[in-house]
Amino acid sequence: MGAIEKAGELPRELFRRMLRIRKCEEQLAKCHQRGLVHGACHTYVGQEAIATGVCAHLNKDDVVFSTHRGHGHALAKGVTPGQLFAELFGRSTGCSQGRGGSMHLFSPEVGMMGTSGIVGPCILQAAGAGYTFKLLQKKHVGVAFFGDGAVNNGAFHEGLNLAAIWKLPVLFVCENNQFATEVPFVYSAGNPSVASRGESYGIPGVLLDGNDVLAIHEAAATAIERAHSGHGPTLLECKTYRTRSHSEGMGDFTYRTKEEVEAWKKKCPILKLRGWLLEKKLASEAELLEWEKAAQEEALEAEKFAEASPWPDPATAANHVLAPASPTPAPAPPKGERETNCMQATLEALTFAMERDNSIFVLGEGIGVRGGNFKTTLGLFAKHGAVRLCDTPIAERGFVGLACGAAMTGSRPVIDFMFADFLLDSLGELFNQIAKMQYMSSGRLKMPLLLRGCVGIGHSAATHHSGSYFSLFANIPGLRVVVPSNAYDAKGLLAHALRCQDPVVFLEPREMLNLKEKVPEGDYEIPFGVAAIPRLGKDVTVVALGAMVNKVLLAALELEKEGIEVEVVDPRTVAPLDCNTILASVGKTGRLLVADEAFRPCGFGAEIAALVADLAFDDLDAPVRRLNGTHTPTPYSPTLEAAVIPSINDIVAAIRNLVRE
Amino acid sequence: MTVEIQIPRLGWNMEQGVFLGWLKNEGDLVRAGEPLFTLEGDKAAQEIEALETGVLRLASKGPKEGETVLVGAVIGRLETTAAPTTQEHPVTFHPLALPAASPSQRWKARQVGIDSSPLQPSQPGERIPVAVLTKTVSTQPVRETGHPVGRPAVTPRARRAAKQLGIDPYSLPGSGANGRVRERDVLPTGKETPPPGVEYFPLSPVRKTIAQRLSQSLQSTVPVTLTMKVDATALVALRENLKAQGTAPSYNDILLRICARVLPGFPPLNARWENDRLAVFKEAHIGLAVDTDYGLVVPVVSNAGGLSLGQISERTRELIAKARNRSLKGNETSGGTFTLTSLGSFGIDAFTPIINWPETAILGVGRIVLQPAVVAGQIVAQHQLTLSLTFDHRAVDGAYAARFLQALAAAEPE
Repeated sequence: MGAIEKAGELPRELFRRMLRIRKCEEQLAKCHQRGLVHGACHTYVGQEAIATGVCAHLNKDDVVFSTHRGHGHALAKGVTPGQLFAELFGRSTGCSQGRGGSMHLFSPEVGMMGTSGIVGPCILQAAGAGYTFKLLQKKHVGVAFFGDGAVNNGAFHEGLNLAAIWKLPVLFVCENNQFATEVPFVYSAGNPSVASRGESYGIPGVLLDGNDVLAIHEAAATAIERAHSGHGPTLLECKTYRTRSHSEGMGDFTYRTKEEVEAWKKKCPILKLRGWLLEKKLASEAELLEWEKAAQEEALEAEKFAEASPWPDPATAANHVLAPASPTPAPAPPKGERETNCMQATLEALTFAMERDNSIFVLGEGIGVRGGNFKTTLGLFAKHGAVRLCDTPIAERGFVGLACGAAMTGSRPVIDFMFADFLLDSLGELFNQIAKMQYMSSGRLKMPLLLRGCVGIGHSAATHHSGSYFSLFANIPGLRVVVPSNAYDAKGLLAHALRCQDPVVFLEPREMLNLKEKVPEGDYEIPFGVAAIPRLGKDVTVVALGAMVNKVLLAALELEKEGIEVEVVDPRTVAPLDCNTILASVGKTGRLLVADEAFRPCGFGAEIAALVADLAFDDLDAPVRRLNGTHTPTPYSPTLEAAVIPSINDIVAAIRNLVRE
Repeated sequence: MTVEIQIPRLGWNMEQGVFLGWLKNEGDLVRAGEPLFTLEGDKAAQEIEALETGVLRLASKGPKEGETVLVGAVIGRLETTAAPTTQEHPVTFHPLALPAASPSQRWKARQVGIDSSPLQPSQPGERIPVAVLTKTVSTQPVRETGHPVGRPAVTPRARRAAKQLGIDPYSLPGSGANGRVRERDVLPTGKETPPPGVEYFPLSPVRKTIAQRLSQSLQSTVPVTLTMKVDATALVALRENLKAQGTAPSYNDILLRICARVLPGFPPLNARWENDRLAVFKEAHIGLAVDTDYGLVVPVVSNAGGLSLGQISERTRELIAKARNRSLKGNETSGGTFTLTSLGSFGIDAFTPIINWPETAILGVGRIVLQPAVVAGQIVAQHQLTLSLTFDHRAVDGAYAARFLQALAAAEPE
């Protein structure tokens, strides 16, 4: 929508913008009653001053991250009423092209980076946008609008803290309408003052009348100035009230009284500014009536446009889960003579990528000066400095959510978890936000994000440093899941991940980090979804990933003495999975064993077994077998630890049995 | 009224055959006894005759030439009345139930000990759900045959290979767990790499059938072999005499005729096992083991007792020629009651032939050779022949079989 330039026109324009929101919301409420809105409809009635006052400063390159009550933010940021109505009506002309609805409004073209059905992530994402602007030295701000319900959520704490320590150009705008759905804020908060919490993070916290658009406009100006000048974020607490129910059609008086609602209606931000404009003679009654009529007509036009708009084509329902396929990279070079281990190989890939692409930055604990627990960033801090090699507090949800917002706004975050187990603290950000962002935005956002960490049992790491989890990640649409088994593959796959437009979960088997392999010194890529066949055989196909590949190869050497020829297929990526190579191998051998250190139930082996039973039934000359780690948390003691992972002897026995079947 | 045309069972072991084509066209009036279609059984092709007179209606998705068909499959019908009734179900051909049987169905069939092959899916090409099978179990009696009850498991890959080769995988011994038939049990070529110095010899389907039948014989009978050296002077004289007249029956022809004359006097040796009882025959139907380049086949000289030596000679020549060019028909290799086998031309004297199950005896013929013999106190050169009779001790005792051998030795050659 753009900043308002002419100072004299400012209050009049603020009035018209608030009016637009109000009229659209009232019309949408009617549409909801008539069944035109298919899902939820959370109106912004009563809170218009906040979005209007803040967004009046923003240009399209400034970005807004919003909540489930986001119609007002979308309109204030420049989404047209027609696009808003069409989205709620589920039409292809909607701002999210029918993939979002009321709670997932996306229009990156105007800096509207999405409303969200989850409370909290917008805070982290706005911080992430701030990180991009800091990294790329752009004079923009990220703005998070959130309700009082979000401030008792970990995202608030982690997001404000991260933005504070890195002095990110961000506005945290709390719309304190006093109820989180139906739970009163006074009940939920040990400290009922949101603004005072700024102090906890070392940032300004400003309490504002959320129904006074001029006051908000002024406070936002100060906050943006502070952000632009590199002093970091500001927390604005805007006290307000929603005068309609939480969601259209819901009962409203079990948790608040009619009297209270009526009292707040009298404090309506639009009425307030109307009176002020008349009083200051900045607008005539006739003019105001004309604006009201125009706003009403605009809302009706939007409804008409939406109703006349086409439905999205059902054939496109699965489009935009992932970015369009990038060009196939040049074939990887031969292995050459130089030997190095997995850690060094992936460090080389990251080093090449960071030299080539200045939008890459690394987040993680100890990845700065120290160079990473597993030497994943050794030497890079000296070259690229603290902004690109950013040590983090132990706040996985916080920096993963931040990385999401950063990726959405044009940088390429690399998150180094050390151990993938730590990633589990941020699964909501990964599954609900990062993985879904391209889809919700109908492919207009790209999510070039790399999350890496070690997996696998060994070294008595016990249960919080040994999980594998790749089946879990591969179950979620929108993620690429990579599990390399050797240094050569790891380098090429990491290089590819650092060019990929999709979020990549890169899981490095800890037990192979030190294994040496012939690895070319130059930069090269290995594409996703192309399995390797490290050993050819004709009697039985064994599919294995990561550390299990080496074990299976050793087992195959043993079985060779008995005349059993094992073919080993290493898919290298779980998502996408190279089904064709597996099917072709089973077509040849007629037998399949999936050797997998991870858990059996609903796992990788089950997926491949079902695939083969479905598409290669007539190729099978024996039942499909799985060999898995025991379905138990990882124990510490070496004797217990050895008992829960498949050994080479277990693999040999399983193959022998399968060949006899 | 209409009569269904089904794929008949041509041999005792036949589960499926290869449909070689119709001999009549859709709408033709076919008379009972006229050849209707050609079907290849385990060893030979046969023209199948119409059982009724009627107008031929082909099944809508009937088998194509060369397609494998299951015994019992309905491939068409004969309308025996002028005006066909319209309310009858259209004839639908179910190409091959085997691929339609799902693993669970076959498993279930094994569990309850029934033969799942006659079950038909509701739609051609569909798999048979277990529910259908369970229903069938309650109505279908447990199969009573000489076979072990139930069927072995066959892997999908083995079934596919068997279908391509046109053989019945269920008749093969399985090398997998619990006797499961695997691809390697079906494939004729030893595709596996043998250990150094060893080569796998490919087994043809005929060879596999022979192996399977011989095993069946040894598992089902109690064979005992008796040998007897006999004076073959009269035999040789007869053949020389006929040769001089321009016809030359083989020694086997002459011996076959002798057997045909002697056998009716020894009914349990001119017989076939039918489950636990012996079916004995008035006429001798004598099989003649013929060595061919694709393996051993046994065409049968039916009603051999009613044939002159010349006729026998003519018939065996014809059967041997057919055997060697693979044109024997199904009824020319079945129904034997006794078998003659000869290794004489290879210089063998005595051996232990294996009974052609379900027959009860087989006569092995050795070489005819001049040997010193004591005749009236003098050592003279005499043509001698060794006969080896293998009989099923379950059917007769040793003395009985010996008497039969004596009777053969004593019989006049003409």
